[in-house]
Order: sequence, then structure tokens, then C-alpha cells
Amino acid sequence: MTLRQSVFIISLLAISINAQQSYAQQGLNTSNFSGYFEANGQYYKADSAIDAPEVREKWLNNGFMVLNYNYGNLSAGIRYESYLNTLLGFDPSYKGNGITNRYVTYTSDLLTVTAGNFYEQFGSGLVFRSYWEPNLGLDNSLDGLKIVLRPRAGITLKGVIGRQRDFFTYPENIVRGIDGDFQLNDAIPGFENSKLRIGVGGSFVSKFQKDDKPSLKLPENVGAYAGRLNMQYGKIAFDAEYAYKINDPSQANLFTYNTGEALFTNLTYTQKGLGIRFSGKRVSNMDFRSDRSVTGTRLQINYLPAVNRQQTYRLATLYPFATQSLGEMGGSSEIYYSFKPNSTLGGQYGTTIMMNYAAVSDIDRKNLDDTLGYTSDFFAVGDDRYYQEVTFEVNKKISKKSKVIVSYLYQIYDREKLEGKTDERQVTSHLGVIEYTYKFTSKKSIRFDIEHLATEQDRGNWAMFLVEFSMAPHWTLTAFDEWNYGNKDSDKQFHYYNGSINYVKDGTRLSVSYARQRAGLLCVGGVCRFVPASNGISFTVSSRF
Amino acid sequence: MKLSHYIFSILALLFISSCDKIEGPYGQSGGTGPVGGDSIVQNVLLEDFTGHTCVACPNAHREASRLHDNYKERLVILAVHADFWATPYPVGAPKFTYDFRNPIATQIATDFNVIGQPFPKGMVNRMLNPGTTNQLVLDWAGWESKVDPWLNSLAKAGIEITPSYNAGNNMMSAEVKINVVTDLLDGVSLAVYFSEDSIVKWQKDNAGDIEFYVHNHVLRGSFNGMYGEDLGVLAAGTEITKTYSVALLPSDVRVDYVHLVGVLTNNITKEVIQVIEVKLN
Repeated sequence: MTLRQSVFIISLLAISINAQQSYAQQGLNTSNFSGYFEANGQYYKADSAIDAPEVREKWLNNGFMVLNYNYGNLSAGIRYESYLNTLLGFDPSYKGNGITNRYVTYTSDLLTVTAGNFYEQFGSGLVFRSYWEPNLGLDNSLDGLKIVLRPRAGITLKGVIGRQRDFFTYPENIVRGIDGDFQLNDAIPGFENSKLRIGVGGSFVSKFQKDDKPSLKLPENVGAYAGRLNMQYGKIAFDAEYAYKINDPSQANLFTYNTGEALFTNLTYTQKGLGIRFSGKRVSNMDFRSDRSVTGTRLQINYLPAVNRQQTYRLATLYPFATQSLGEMGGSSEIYYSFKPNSTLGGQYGTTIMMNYAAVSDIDRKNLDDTLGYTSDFFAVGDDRYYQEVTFEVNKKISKKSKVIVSYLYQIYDREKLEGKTDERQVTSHLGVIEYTYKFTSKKSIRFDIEHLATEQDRGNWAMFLVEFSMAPHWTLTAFDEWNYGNKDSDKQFHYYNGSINYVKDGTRLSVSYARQRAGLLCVGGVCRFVPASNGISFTVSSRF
Repeated sequence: MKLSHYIFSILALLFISSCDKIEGPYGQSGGTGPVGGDSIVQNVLLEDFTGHTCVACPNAHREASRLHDNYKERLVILAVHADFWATPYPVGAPKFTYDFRNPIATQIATDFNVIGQPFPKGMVNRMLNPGTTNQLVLDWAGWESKVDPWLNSLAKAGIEITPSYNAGNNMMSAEVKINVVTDLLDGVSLAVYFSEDSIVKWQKDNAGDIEFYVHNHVLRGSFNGMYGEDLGVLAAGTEITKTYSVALLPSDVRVDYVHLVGVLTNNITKEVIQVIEVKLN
């Protein structure tokens, strides 16, 4: 722990003790501590059949504890993280432990100011989003200053400046940005009660990194800006954001000097029992990092939202789509409809259906050039189809005690682009799922999940069977087996077993599980990390207080 | 206009002007050329962690090659084939069946926490990540900016290697002479590795699978282990000569394509103090 961190913690505790004494004397209770603790450990054993490596340490552990303190208009917090050593699948550069996040925030009606680590997002994140996603091992918080001004109703102005976290260090490169958000109905007198609601916003973000590559002339200040619009009229809502980035040669784009741009749009219609959504996205050369020489999930300044569904069923996660920041063009549509109870299709308790379609392709690229990259027709779609999915789902309550979900998912997945596997470029798969839940009592229930994935490519067919018994509010027992019975290599038709026991009480969760884990990608919102095969016993303890 | 509007207007102007639009030509004659004179110069070791099934790795090979073209013999490259990217396909598979791996390469990748990271990665002189006790593991785009300052630094020691090869018993020998320029108070170790150039085998690339890919600087093994021999604390002016021998293995290594690489490292930080490469034959 550095001297600076020690001083900060001591100061935080001192403030806390003083505050509690002060309020105790006054009989007030406007200060509070809150926090969250989580520790994930796994005991590994080698399993050469599935290429699960031997782990020299045998036991690996990721954990963190967050502590927040609020006192009137002030709040402060710290986060301690420990990777001793890093769980398989997380970047080993995390190895170590220490205070990784500390901040102080002052809030008034006019402004909020933060010193230290902070998270923020401008618009949908096309030019700036800092966030923490421990499941991905991703934390691109800024360490610096943040100001949020609210000069009048409907107007929010933000300014940020800082250095980004990179594991346990903060490289010297600087990120700075401003954002203005104007909700016109709130800001313009007489427009408050209009049925048409309009918001506009604009952002500018710039990074500074010195030109330390002797062989190239590199831009030291790289800027990106974005404009956005959101409108709502009754049941219809529309939002769009466009972003542009100047030349930003980096490892990601192989040091080409072309500009970047992104467009993200959403159109939705919602009413009781019906929801329709259309999304569109175009991305070109929008990998934006505070260090031009890193890759993966490190030091990302922006976030490019995914248009495809976040799949949750086990076998549906075999082929997840990862956002292609260097170029993609895609769209999706989704419709929900609920048939009313006591109708022909709704039955006694009603039925909900969902249909989804998403497709993502490369952008059109012409005039390929080693230094300028390419030119691209904005509205033209490239020839390479990266991903496509069609989902159909029926969710039906059968009786007071039981419900069933039947789902079908069709996927086309470009393994070469998304996983770098050139052996078999495209995987086409059909997944069927039946999920059935039966409640014995208000507290006891059992859930079955049966899945089958059929494909001619990759590892062939899979089947999965899951059973989960819950005794609310404390106990959940789960067991499942993913069986790769269709592997063309009969020696690799493995079973991937998993059994777990969860206990929850008063915000604390304890979990013990045994898993033979298949290798694959874990994705959250289109951002992915590779999880290698493993075999072992895992323990999780988490507590909110 | 309120004060906050003024502040944000000024900030907006400042920020919007914070853009450097670069016009061509984009390249420049950069980089440190070899230092003249007879003084001991600082060389740099670049360890390129790679694998034949890693599609992004040829980009790193090309960058290493470009840097070597620029810095010549002052940049010593070792291609460290490790982790599952280097795992060969099963015997009988049509491609990627060759095993580039060896225990030394795996130990380097393991001890410096490169195993488990997305390849390609690299280390420049095994330098520490500032503010930590861990080695700095870099993506290839970060190599040049680290190599250049090292080449401009003052050498703390010099290494000379006199190699020999006995075809009769397939044994290599290395006579290594160390000249210490400044006190090396942390203690040092000397490792002697050997590498092989021009191995033509399969390699994945963004453009597809390449059958006749030329693999260079492939780390094949060591004369004296990964960390080498502990020489302890050495004072300025010290001259040491060490001799090591080892069989040239595996059996398919071609003697005419082998280089010996001497690496002197700091015992505490593990950073490279000096490195040299000589051709075996």
C-alpha cells in the first residue's frame, strides 16, 4: 500500500469517527457506512482430457471489498482487491493486491464534484464510458476529477479528467472530456407538459499520449465527439447517437491513420402486453483507448453497445458475439406480445411470446491502404457475415404451480473473425430449450432445463440437462451436465459436470460448487474474455452490508 | 450567461482544439542506430511470446522483424513459443503438428506471468512494470517505445561469446566473457540460450493458414537453465570467463541456423543488464 493510499484510508476513518461522534452528540443519524464483499476461490486439478492445465498454486482467488461512507453532502469510498493469484481466465497481470479505488464526492443542488476514482458515461458510451465489470476483469475507471453541473432543470453538464486504471497501475496518458445533456421539456418553460419529449446531448473526449514511437509520426492528442438525440411521443421512443474520431493509429488498427465513426439507433414501441424494438448500428475504426499499444479489454475509453441479445441459456453461450470495434454493421428487431389470460392462445394464465432477429456483418471496405486504412460507403454492408441469430420464445404459466419456457435459437457464427479460429470459418447451430418450473409450496420449487444444440461444425452436437431445487429464501441446489456427445472425435465426447450449493441469508451468499468447465468466451454486453477449460472446486462468499 | 456556462464554453474550446490531425508522410527516420566507437554498447533483448495457432502473432513477428532491420544486432530477439497457442495438433492432423515448445520457453512464459494472457505479448529486457515488482508484458505496438530508451542507456556490463560446435558428438560450447562497467550490487546471473532461424512450418495468420511460414529466432533451449548461473555481486572492472556445453537438441535443429544468446540479468529485479547474440557456426 502506498503512502498516499494509507493517508487516504486514515483520513476516511478519522472523518467517519468524528462524524459519528458529532452526530451521536446531536442525536442525528445522517451518516452511514455501506459495503460489499466478494471472494471467489477455486481449487484446480489438471484434466488433460479437456486441456485443463495444471495450476502450480493449486488454489487461486479473486476478491474485493467495497466500503462507502456518506456524511451529509459528502461521500467517500475505497475498494480493496486481491488476486492471489489470479483465477484462470483473468489476465494474470492482475496478480497482486491493494487499494485500487478511492474517492471523495461532494454533492449539492448545483453540482457534484468527485476527486479520486470515478465512473461515468456520456450518452450511450460511444466516445466515453468508464465502468467496472469484475466478471470480465474490466475496470477502466479514471483517477482524477469529475464535475457535474446542473445549472437549471433539464440541463446537465459534465467534465472529467484523469488517468485510466490498468491493473494496479495508472499509465501517464490522460483522458479528458465534456458532455452536455439538455432535456428540452424540463429546460424550456411551457414545454413541460408536452406529449413530445425531446432530449439532445453532445460530448467531446480527448486523450493525450506522447509520441514515443520513433518510426512514426503519431497524434499525441486524439479527439472524439458525439451528438445524440432522444425523442418520445406517447408509446413511441427514438434515440440515436453518432460519434466521430480523428486519426488514431494504434495496434488495434495496425497503425492506420483513417478516422473512426459510429452510429447507434433505437426505435421502440411499447404498450401493455406489447413491445417492439428496432436497433441499428454502424461502427468503423472506433477502437478508442488511452494507450495505443494495448489490446483486449485494457484502457478502453469508449463502449460500443451490442445489438444482439444477451443469451443466458448455457448452450446459447457457446457462440457469443463480441462487438467488433474496427468495423461492423448490424441491426436487430425484437417483439414481445402477451396473450391475455382466459383467451384462446393465452390459456387460463396468459402466454408471452418473444421473437428476435439480429445480424451483424462487416462494413464495406474499399481502397485498402497500409497507412490510411480504407474508405467505406456508410450505408453499404460488407460481404462477411459475422453473426446472425433468430430467437423464438414462448413463456407460459401452466397452472398456479408450474410454468414452462420453450425457446429456439438459430445462430450463424464466424469463428475466424470472433475467435481467430481458421479451421472452420462458420458455425451454424440450432438450439432448443425447454425450461420447466414447478412450485411445491410458496418456498419450495424445482426447475428443469433441457437444452440441445445441433451443429455440423466445431465440436458438433451438445445436450444439457439441469435440475435446480430451491428452498426459499436460503437454499438452492443445482446440478447440470453439458454433454458434447456429437463431437466427431469420439475420444472427446466429454461430459462437463457442475454441481453447486448456494446459501443466502441477510445479504450474504455462500456457494460451493464442483465444475468441469469447458473452454469458451464469456461475454457481457458484447465485451468478452476467454475462459479456459478447468476442473475443480469453487467457493464464493459475498456479503452486502 | 452564468459562470458555469462560461467555464464550460472555455473548456469546450480548449478540448476541441485538443486534436492532432496528422498529414502524411506518416513514417519518419526514427530509432537509435548502432553507437559507433569501441565502447561497450547496451543491447536489448526482445522476447516475443508466440504460437503457431495464434492468428494475431504474425503481426508481432513483422514488428519484431522491422525493429531488427532498424536496430540490427543491437536488438536480440527470442521467439518464445508457449501456452496453448503453441500446442501442436494431434499426430496425423494435416497441419500444426510441429511442437515448437520446450521447457525453457514454457518456464519463461510461466515465471513472468505471460501464460494465460492473450498472445502475442512481449517483454523488452524483462523490464519491470513501473511501480510494481512484476515484469512489464507488452503488446507488440509498445515494443519500439521501450526498446529505444534502453538502447540509449549506458551499458553496465559487456558480454562476448566465443561459440564452437563439435559435429562428432553434437555438442555446442560457449565461452562467455563478461566485463563489468559499473558495480552490480544486486547480484547477477548469466544464462546462455540457443535459438534457430528459418524453420518453415505452418502458422495461422489473419489472412488464413500459411503452410510455408518462416519462423525465426525460435528459442530452442538453454545451456544452463532459464535463469542461468548465479554469479553474485560483481564490482566494476571485474572480468569473468565462463564456459558451458550442451548437446544440440532436439535432433532436427540445423546447426547452420543456430544462434547463441547470452543474457546477464539482475538477480532481484530479473531485468536484463546486457544481452548478445552470436551465430554458432
